[in-house]
Amino acid sequence: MSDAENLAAALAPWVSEHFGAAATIGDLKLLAGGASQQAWRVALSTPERTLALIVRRDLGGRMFATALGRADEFAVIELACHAGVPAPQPYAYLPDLAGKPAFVMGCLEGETIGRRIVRETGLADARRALPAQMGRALAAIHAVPVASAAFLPGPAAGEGAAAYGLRMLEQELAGVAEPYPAIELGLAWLRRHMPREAPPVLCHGDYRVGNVVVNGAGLVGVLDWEFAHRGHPGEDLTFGAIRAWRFGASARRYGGVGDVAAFLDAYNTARGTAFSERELYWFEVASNLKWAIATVTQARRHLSGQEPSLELASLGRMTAEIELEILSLIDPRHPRYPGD
Amino acid sequence: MQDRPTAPELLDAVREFIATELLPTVTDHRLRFRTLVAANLLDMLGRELKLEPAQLRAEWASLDALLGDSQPPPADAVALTAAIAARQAALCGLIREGREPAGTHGFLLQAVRAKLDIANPRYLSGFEPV
Repeated sequence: MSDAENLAAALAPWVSEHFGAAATIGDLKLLAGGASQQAWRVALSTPERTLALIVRRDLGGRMFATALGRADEFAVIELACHAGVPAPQPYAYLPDLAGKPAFVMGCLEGETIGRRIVRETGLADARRALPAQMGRALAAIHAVPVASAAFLPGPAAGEGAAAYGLRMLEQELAGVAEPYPAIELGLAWLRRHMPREAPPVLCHGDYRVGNVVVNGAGLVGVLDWEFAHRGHPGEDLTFGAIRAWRFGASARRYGGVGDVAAFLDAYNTARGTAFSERELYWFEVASNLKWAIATVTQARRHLSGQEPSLELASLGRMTAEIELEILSLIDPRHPRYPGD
Repeated sequence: MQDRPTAPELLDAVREFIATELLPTVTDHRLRFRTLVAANLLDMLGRELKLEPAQLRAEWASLDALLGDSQPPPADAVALTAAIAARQAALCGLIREGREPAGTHGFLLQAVRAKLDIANPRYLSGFEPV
């Protein structure tokens, strides 16, 4: 049996239970797959309707030490949906789907590829709407009562949320054998310019264009919750604004689609906060460092033999692009460098 | 000494094969992306063969100046790369202790630009602080 047939057979009992015995499984398509996890799109027909589900399944191994397993990721999606965040409908966590933990969620229809969202002519209206929509959706995520996210990683007792974010970055880099002095200099800049702390919130952890579903009218839903944690809101407020996630449209600083101001205004209005770009500059540097370190550690997954992959290998040579942005941002001559 | 084609000539041949013969036959979306990545990496290797020897010598001299410790560079490329990595690791230690030498930012900017001359010269030439 092929992988797809195996998975369909393993999924069949749950489908009957949830959608009735008359429900049938149609095409299964592998959307993304590596050595550590898979995502499948599963077509389903019941006598009343047809629908598409997404099955995310662990294969063992984690992308990062801090990434969640499928059970916790599913629990986060439930929290988010319950709070009114646009996200895929969570159906079920299946601890043993053909021997591996998995969960099933609804499939949101639309575009997810960042490069297309930034460029396609048919998505011009979506681009205009997206920064404010993503600001409001992020406000809804951050409004989830943080006590209900206590099962997620977060600051130690007495530790500030920003300090926790910095400690995680230092920890990730410390596990790498080779020297990265430009990244080290960025971390040193962070230590010398610690920002005002804020109470931790439920952070998405990878909030950017490329991890949202977009249609002609804009935001459909927020995906990829596996890096959720409790942290400083500044993390999510800047990650989607870093140069690497502008997909070449560097001047449109929010995700290559629009203004950071539109995104921030919508967030602040919905949350009753007053975060300014100036105040968030530290987090923009930190978000660049997070992605720079991620390219380093992802390349190590290839180099260690854990997950041989040309794409992961190539990320190792992308690190320098982010290092250039980090060195540019920590230079007091940068046009947006916050004065003292 | 090897016969022709030289290493850069072989890289060009493989890259041409991928771009003109292989790529048009690849219909699977994700496989197509990886094929393009492969072609780009061969381009990168071509630039590396051409530029790296001079870059390594220049980086060694810059490290001499930055660390105030002039040393003759190891003669062969492998030993030189290892020695530069050791000096970079020492610089990392200084940065972590908060006592990096004056000029560290400028040195690193130069080192990162050298990496991008090989890894992605188009990104480097289009880079503007915004």
